[in-house]
Amino acid sequence: METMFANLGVGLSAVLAIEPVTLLGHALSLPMNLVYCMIGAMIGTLIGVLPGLGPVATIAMLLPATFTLPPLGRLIMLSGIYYGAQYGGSTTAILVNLPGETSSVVTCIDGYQMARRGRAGVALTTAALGSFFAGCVGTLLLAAFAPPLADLAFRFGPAEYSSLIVLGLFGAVALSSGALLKSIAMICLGLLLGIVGTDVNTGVSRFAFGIPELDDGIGFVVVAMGVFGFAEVIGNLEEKESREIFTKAVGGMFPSGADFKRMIAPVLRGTALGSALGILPGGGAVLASFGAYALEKKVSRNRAEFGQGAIEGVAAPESANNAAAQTSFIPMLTLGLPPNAVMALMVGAMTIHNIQPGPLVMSTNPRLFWGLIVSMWVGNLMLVVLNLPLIGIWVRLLTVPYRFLYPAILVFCCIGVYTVSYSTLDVLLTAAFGLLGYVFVKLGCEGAPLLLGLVLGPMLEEYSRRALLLSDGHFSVFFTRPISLSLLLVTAALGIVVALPAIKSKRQEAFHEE
Amino acid sequence: MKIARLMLTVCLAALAAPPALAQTFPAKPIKVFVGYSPGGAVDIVARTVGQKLSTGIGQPVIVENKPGAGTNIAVRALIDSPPDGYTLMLSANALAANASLYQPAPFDPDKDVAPVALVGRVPVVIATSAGSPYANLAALVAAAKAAPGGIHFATPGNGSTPHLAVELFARAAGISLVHVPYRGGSQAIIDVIGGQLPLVAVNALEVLPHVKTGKLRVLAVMSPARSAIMPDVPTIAESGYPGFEASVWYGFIAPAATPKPVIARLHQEIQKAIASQEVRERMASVGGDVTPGSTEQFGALIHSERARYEKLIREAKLKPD
Amino acid sequence: MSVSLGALTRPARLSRRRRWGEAQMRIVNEKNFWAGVMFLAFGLFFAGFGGRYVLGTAARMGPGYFPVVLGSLLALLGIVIALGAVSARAAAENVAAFAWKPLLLVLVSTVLFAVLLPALGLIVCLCLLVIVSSLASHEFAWRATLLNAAALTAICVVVFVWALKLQLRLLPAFLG
Repeated sequence: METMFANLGVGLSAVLAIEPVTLLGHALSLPMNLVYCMIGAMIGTLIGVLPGLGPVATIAMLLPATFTLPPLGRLIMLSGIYYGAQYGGSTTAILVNLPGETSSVVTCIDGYQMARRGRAGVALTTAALGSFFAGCVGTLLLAAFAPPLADLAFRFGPAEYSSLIVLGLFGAVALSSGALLKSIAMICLGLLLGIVGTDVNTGVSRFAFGIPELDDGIGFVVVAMGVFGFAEVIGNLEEKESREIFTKAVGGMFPSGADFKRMIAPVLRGTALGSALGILPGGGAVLASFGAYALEKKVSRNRAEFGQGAIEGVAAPESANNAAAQTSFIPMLTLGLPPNAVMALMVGAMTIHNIQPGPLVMSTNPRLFWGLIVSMWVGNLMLVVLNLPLIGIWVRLLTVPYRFLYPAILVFCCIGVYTVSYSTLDVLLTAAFGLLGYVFVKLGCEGAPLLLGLVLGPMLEEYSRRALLLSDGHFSVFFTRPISLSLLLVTAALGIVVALPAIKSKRQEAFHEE
Repeated sequence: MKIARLMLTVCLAALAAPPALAQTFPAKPIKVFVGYSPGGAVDIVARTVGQKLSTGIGQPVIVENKPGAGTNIAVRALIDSPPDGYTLMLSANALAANASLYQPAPFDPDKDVAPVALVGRVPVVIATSAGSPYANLAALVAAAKAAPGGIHFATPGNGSTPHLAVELFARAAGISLVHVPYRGGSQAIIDVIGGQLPLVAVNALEVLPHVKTGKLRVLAVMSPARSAIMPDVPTIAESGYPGFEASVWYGFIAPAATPKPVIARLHQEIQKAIASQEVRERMASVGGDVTPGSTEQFGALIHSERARYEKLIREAKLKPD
Repeated sequence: MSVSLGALTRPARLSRRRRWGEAQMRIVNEKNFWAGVMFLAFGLFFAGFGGRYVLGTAARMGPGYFPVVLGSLLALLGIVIALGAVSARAAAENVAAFAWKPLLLVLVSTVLFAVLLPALGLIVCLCLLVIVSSLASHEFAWRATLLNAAALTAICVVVFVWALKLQLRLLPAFLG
């Protein structure tokens, strides 16, 4: 315990270290690391708000510009961009139903409904506060338990991952407020759309029909922008009467006492789930936010409100995805193994400075290691401080007449999608998914399960096939390995819980019939 | 008559332009495509060399990542770029292999792209987890012979250099190993450390940090001479299989029609960059080495690699198609 | 949209036996019916084309395995959902009319943007996108739209090209 505080002290001094710098011809002494943190957080928030452009692309673009910075300063800035983007992604999810990040998809569901009811400010504040709490917890976990948590990641082999994903998909069914069968079908469709592209196990190009851009699959951004963003815009344009999309009666920015009471449990649950899942390489953050939402829907007292603007539906996933963002640093820092693309970039950034991330970093470069960890907490604090005042501006943005707002949404979507890979095809696909998304709305099918399937489908296939490859074709591998078995048991339990009400009501109906 | 004269003058001017261009080249930033996501080995090499190169030529060198389809997307983008020397690509072995790996061949590495300069190479290594029963390559081969099809090895992907290298080796050793492809080296290494499978074949750069911490043990390094970073590890030739050099090489290429003087200028600057202390140390620290050489030598390498892969892929019937 | 056989002459609540006997085909729940049809179509598409790839076995799945299995599952779900929508016990839900004008305008504006961007550059295409999509609004006015287009284009140029240094061509190809 004392060593942890001592270490945090080292980190704090590194972050607050004053360095001389020349600004506009004046020699100043500033805590430069704090400055980098703020710049990173601001850039991160901005790109999180802009659809399409994500932390991966931004960090990749800014990497060369950061060459001139000292190693710690540069890592601090890049990390700031990463978790800053999580904050920004929630903003557009709430305001205009556009998920800026994969893990913000769930926030759209209730967050956007809250915005339409004039509670955008409350939703944004909830997201910010929940994320801040989760960020603090995540950072603490990182500081105290990094090595043992990293070991946990090793226990997850392909069999465990596939069982986890199956659990996640079952949980997604609980997401839907509508018909059970339609949600399952949407998940299936998402899974199938995720299969488009090159098969990792055999290298065969599937459903690409000779188009090389499709070899890497249909991008998440493309589908999300189309199904969520475009479809929403088209749907809103249907109204012939001059109905305001967002009610003019905008309430206060701050959550009320009652709101706060409702937020506490979801934030705690979301943080716990997010911290655990963030460590696992792959879709940790996505699973965290979907899982937190599904969990909340099952246990919450106000579950009937979900889908219409329940504050729990924003608090839980936001805490989960921020906690996951923090703990995803663990495998990278302790083992040097990046769990996702952003971390891979960080590893690259460190390697270029001749610092090999891994257990050695803690001992050979304590200032760097602990400085980075403390900077994450500082960064989270800065984000809350920066974003809360901005909320007023965002909410005012919603009062712009819709006829000016929606072309702006389309513009940002198009540019965002285009700049992901500078591909015309991507934008055309977005339009196609916009059409499809509109059809979905008309037919009462929900988009969130589709997106979850899209993200998890390829992973499910990859991991289950690899598990079978490693076990020489024996299916028992999913049931003989303890973690995998427990996950599947939870899935079965969840399946029963979900099916029970449906069976009960059908039986009652039949009973009444006779 | 006047028009003909005018046209002749224009043509002569155009012909005279390239040497003049080469003098003022480069006048704007140079783009370097990388066919992999940021953070990986190729990307790191591109950025390191690019940084040094930009100080040498006085223009920024911007790395643009275009991952996908085993670098085919990046190569296609390069071929479609204007051949003026401002667009290059740092490619690796995939350039030579893909022509045979993908049907129909997505491009011709000898005709559609022009070699500029080889940068360096990092050897492929075969590594195993710290607790595995294989003390050395011979033990592995013996175990594989005793249990054919029973030992799994992880690689960064179907058709990747380590994959092909191990296939070559396995056929020579008369054993059969089961290939488990991953998306990239990271996940493969994680699973081997975690004990999900015993072997991983990747390039030395990605394995080094874990060797240092003792999580992985390298059985053999597939370079002609022992690696300076891992002097205790025998080469594959020393372990009884001479002629099995397999390295991941990195080199700059340009669109085929890029004028020769521009290529020569680029080559000159790149040679200067890779001769620098920083780049040498960087390559050495990741277990590789810098390979200065002429443009023609690089071209010959691409050609010979292509033939080698073609033969292997045909015989082993490997196919991402 | 209903195909009924004398439904008007029969009492609303029928016992199960008589219902099956009469074989009525009334699409009670339009939404579900067409959703089911859509799922069936997608399922058949994926399962059908998936069959072109090597299937393999459950133990050693080939590239075609997942598509065929999932596609068949989806098709099956589609059939079940559609049948459920035809049963008289289903909740009656109608599909609201499609808003063709906004739909087409938004899609066309996006397609124009995508296709013309390499040739005409960002500025022209953004203006085009804003103007064409604005036509979809029933509150459309030329002056306001043009102002909006100018403002948005300016913001985008500042944010994306100047601040974020994204490689986007600003002017049409024949100009620069």
